[in-house]
Amino acid sequence: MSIDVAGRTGSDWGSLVAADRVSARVYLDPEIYEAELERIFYKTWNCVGHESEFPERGSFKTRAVGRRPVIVCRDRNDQINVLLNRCRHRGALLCEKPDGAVAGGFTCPYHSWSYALDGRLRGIPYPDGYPRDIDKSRLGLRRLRVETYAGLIFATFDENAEPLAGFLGSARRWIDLFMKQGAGYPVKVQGAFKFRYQANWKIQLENVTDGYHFPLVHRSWMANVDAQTAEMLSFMKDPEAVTYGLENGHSVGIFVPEHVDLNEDDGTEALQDRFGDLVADLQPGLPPERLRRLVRSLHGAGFNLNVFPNLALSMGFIRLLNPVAVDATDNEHMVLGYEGGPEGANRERLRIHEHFQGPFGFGTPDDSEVWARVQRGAAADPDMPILIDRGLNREEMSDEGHPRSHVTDETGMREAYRMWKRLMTDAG
Amino acid sequence: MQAEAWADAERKLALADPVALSAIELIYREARLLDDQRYRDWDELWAEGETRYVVPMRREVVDYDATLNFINDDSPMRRRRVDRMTSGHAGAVNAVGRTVRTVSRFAVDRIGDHELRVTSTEIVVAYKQGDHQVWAAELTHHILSADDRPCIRAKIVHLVDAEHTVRTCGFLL
Repeated sequence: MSIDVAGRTGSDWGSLVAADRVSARVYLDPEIYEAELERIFYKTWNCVGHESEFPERGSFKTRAVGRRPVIVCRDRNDQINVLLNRCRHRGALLCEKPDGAVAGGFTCPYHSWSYALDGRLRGIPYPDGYPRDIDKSRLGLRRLRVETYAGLIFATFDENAEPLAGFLGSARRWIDLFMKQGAGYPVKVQGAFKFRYQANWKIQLENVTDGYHFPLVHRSWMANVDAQTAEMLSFMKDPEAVTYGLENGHSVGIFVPEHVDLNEDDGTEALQDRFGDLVADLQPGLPPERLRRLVRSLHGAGFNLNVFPNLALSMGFIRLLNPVAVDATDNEHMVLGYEGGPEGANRERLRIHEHFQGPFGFGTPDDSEVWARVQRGAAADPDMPILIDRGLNREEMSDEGHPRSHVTDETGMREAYRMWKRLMTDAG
Repeated sequence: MQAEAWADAERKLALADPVALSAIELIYREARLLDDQRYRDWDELWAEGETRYVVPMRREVVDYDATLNFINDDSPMRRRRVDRMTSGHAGAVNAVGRTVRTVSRFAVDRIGDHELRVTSTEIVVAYKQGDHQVWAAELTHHILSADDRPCIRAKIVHLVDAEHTVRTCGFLL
């Protein structure tokens, strides 16, 4: 099948995506990027954080949904709010700090209009210039619709978006499995890397369930870790390492089949020698089953879950992406830990995260390099298709009705582009 | 606070002091090796035994092990980093074009019989694929000066934008 891209605009964007290929224009065209903001990022649910990042009333972080800056904060009633970071008066950005805690709310630096943590307009200095009966309730910050699932905070600009649970669909089961890495403790965010790379956001989204690249791009990391960790992630010929296209663009790739459900343990897996010191430290205080449970969870869950369009739950961390331009994307990689759990175990997870992830990690910089290379290379011929057909020859339908193939196959990408096509061509 | 300031003043070395000069010379040599991507030679500048090479994410952090850092290398981890950088299989490292860096604004304190603390600024211009990036940081080196060959015991790199979004990096600061 060929893709006709000549002169396509507006509702013709659907013709850029076929079942087995997409036009390179989806990475390159600024008009498509603008349309994606309107039709995807401002219409669907975007993840904007995890509840553990907002431990107290007044805790906040500034993030963005698409290109729109937002403040995520916990209010005096313990509710999480997601507020457009823009004063209602003359439009100034209210808060520029990446995170922190405030007592009462946010005050605009320009004319000191002040807002409560739930976005209500509290005060206008020198109010005599306004009618005495000014209706402050109509001048609060713009609030996004917010729903949570398993501690993950989602927000949308679309008041008519379907409920979050329906949007997540069967991804919920995988989110539940992912959170089992708490090993009996509540999962908490311990910190986050924030970095930018020069590539379209979909190139990163595709990568989350792309097992094919792993031993190739990450050869220097595989050679650098201990033999047991390298063996754990040697899935290229493992028939149990599979990937599923879920629905609504979501997908999951299983890299460590024995760690899909961390509650299941037949006792045959040897604990990795690298955690020997931690085991020795914890052994006196923890029953053997709990110790095994904890140590088996240190690398996180055995899979990467892609939740369209901006969230990935990847083994031991949460990834948020944000498309800042057609050829630039910001990522946050938030490392998880155990709330109230052993300090040594939390530190192990920090070191694992530092080793691979982040701007100076042994993995992330190599990923960003190839993503940017795709961005530059695809421009060589925007009409030449990007192939997403790997594994079509061996893809099957699971009992639940989800396409399933090997984790090195492109099943997840096909699911993401099915959703992309739906959103980019529907009237709304 | 004032007492501490006086103590600092007493420990401060003049830049012309031969001990201070040898430490500054070491830091210049380090800058050259990093720009030339001679990571094995750079590794030789470090002290034996316990060392630390850190790029923290927050300036106020003192217990690096308790928090997430861009880099938090002890001696074995630093050698593994050098192994990666010299392996020929790290795409980001292979793609680095050129860097040139300036290290300046030195201040040297004696903090032990054989240990100096040198603070400085570092500006790196990195060029790759038609793109110039600027990296700016404040450096703190702990230099051991016991033998005739000074060596690095610790290096802390405070990026000016550490708390914000940074680029991914295929070289060392």
